[in-house]
Amino acid sequence: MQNHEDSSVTLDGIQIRYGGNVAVEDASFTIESGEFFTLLGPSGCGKTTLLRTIAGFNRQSSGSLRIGTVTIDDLPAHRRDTGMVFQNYAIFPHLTVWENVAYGLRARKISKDELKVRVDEALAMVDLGGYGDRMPRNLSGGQQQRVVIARAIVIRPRVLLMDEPLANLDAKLRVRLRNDVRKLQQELGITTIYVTHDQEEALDISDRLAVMSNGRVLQVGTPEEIYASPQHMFVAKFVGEGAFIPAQLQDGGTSARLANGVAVPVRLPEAASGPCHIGLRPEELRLANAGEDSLFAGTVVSRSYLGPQVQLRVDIGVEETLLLRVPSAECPRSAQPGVAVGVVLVSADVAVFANDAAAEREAREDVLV
Amino acid sequence: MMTTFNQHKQRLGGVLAQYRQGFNFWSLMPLLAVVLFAVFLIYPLVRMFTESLAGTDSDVLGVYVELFTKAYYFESLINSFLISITVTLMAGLVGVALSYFVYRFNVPGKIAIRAAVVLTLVSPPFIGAYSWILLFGANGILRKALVAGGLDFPSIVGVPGMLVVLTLQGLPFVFLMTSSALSSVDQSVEDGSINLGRTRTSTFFRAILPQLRGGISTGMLLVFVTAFSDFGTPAVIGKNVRVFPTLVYNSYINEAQGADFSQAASFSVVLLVVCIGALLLQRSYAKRHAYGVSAVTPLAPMELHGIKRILVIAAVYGVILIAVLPLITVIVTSFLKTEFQRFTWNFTLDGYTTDATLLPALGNTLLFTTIATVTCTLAGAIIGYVIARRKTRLGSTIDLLSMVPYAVAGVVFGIAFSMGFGSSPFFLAGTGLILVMAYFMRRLPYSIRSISSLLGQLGTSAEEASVNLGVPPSQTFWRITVPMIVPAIVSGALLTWATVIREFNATAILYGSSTATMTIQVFSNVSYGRYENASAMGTILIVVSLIPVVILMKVFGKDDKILV
Repeated sequence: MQNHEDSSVTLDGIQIRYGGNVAVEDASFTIESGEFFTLLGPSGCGKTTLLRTIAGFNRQSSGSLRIGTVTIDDLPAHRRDTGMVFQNYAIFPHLTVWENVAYGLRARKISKDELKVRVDEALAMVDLGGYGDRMPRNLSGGQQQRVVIARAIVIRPRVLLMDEPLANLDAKLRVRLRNDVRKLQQELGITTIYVTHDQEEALDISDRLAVMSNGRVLQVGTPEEIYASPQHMFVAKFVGEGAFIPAQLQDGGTSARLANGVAVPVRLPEAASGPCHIGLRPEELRLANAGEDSLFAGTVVSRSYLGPQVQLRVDIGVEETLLLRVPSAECPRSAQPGVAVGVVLVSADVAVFANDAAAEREAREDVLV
Repeated sequence: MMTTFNQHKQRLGGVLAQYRQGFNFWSLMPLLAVVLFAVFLIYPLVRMFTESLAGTDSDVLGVYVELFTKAYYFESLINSFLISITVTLMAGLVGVALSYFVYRFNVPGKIAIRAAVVLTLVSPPFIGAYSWILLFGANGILRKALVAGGLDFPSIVGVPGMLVVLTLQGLPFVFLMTSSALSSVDQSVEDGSINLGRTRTSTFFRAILPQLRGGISTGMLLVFVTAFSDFGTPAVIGKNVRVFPTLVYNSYINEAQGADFSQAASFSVVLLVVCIGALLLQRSYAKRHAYGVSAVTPLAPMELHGIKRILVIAAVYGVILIAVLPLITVIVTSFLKTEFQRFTWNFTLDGYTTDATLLPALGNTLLFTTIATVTCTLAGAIIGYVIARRKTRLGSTIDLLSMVPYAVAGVVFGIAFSMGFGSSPFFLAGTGLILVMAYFMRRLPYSIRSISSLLGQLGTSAEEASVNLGVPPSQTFWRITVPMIVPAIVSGALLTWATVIREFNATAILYGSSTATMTIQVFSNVSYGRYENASAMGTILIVVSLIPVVILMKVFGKDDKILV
């Protein structure tokens, strides 16, 4: 259905300021043709602002935007050929479902027959065939959102923009609809930029994603890269769990010494020293068997049953407690709060984060929010 | 909350960036709106103020000093304060209770109740006064019946009558404002309060009522301003009680011969200052108690049973009956014969046939009301849209200016317009144009606000979606924005029509021999004791003011929201 040769989106040094506030700072990356790309970050990080700038509702203060090879900086919103799906639906309340979907096509010079075919086709795609005559107020939230998705794809936009489209739906429906969205996007091969603050959602549906915080794009990569090799502690904290512990690099950067004296082996591309943080994800740790040597010795502070797993928090005498997830069947009954246990480091590649005091404070605040 | 506000601003700024191209129709509108307010509001008020200082030769503040030192004047002022405050409190109490009962409990006929309230809102103010005299005056039908039954019921004429009539006149304001405030209270607040151990009663006073303060106080402000400035009602039912608006009107009429309006102007300024004071007080109160909440799940209706239900229904219908009683009286008596200024139980159409002023008055009323409604609705919609959607530096100025007419009472409007446009250099005294101008300006703020607040609530995303789908902003305006606000425009026009048609206080100052409207003729019929004719004209007035409501109910279906 898609026949645009190149619908990649390139952001070149985009900066967006409001008065004295910087909403987006120097965003530069390219979204490939046909890619499902997510802007992920906490509320207020600038992701929606960036999306709206691509749609043409905001004008960047500096930098340049391209779709394909064409610069769109001076193109008004109604000529950018992007289809946008809004968080609060933005359905036209006075038009029927069918007229909502036909709305964008009517602005284009299209024969009556083709109009009908395409609207019906789009409604069928979102499973709303037969709902054409309904008024929006008679639809559920999920149905309204599907109308809006149909309305956006029916114009065959070069780029599909989605601003937290599923945020107002309940959890079950959210997961179902996001699978539908992903399937639809792959069928159509349409370049899609998706905004969300839900990291699970972002990892699930994206080809690649950009993690943003306080207006800055911290890292761009595939879900695997983002989760497994976060380049900022903020990224690591935002897309996963774990303990992030202050440490001192020593021995030319081959190990990191914690406040309790334990030296954790690390691998760095080049020699380094000084204060840092290390990140330990639950899957990088396991409980030591009886009599086994373990890197950490500590005390269980909490135990909670999650079904397939048991989650333990272990105090090893540093600022943060270690987070472990043990398969329920393997978790010893004895591992109760107050009991001393050993914790084995499974990973050979512990994440090390440079100590940027400002970034650290920022990240902490963001995560708390 | 802060972020959503900022996001909203940013959104607006974004869409609007595209509109700010050159000098077009829309960029002219804010300027035009300011000019409109300057010419039709600020200029006449300033003119009135300078006139108030120009009068006495030696001492410019003379009239003001007189007002506060001469017992005769000062007493009127005090009387008006006492009466207005009492009326405001009573209307507040009854209005809030009525509104809550109807909103919350299983009272049958809710649409009929709302319709009755709107009906009393649109009926001419002093018709109530005159009807109450017919019912409970010295020769009142009901009073006589009571006296005959052995009850020594005093005549209602005087202070009691004014209190009753002005309270009933103010009731709809409080009722409507409270109802709309109630619709933004969330059920979870009540549930939360009860869950924390409060009783239902205590929950109402501690959790629900506080959230209604903004709406209730707006309603009460309107009651106060009307009660403090209406001279039609005291003229009919007040007998010898001196009140301030009557003083203002009389001094204007007396001075009209000498063409020196210093006293009327000074008194008007005082009236204006009192009303503006009340407005500022209410604004700051409402601002302190504005919570910006909207209900996800509105308060659920509660089922009452047994005696409680009967009591609530009796209270609601009791009040409604009292409120519509004057209207019924007017309609019934319009078909009854009068002999020696008393109604008999003989059917006649004389009321309708013997009054030569009826047709010209009807023509004037229809003509002026139609022009004022159409212009006011259009201008209100355009200005309201500009305030809500266009980034304009004049936005806050327009917003502020559009607040002023709320505090300018009819009599003040009349006197200011008479001074501003009646004589040199405009010489519009007594013309239809000056009446239409006054009506237009009085109602303009309501038109503006209904549109701007609706657009604020709707948000900009539907319009953005349209632009995003490839429809240019100019077409988006016609295809998305206009259809979304048409219902509000229509119901605003309806209210404008009904309130302009019953306007009396400004008209009484401004009309001329060929431009008398129906309200003027009803009043003069009442004054001369031509009760048949007064009732007949009153009946026609009620019917005419309701015609658009009926037509629109037919067009829009039975959506009761169209009434509010």
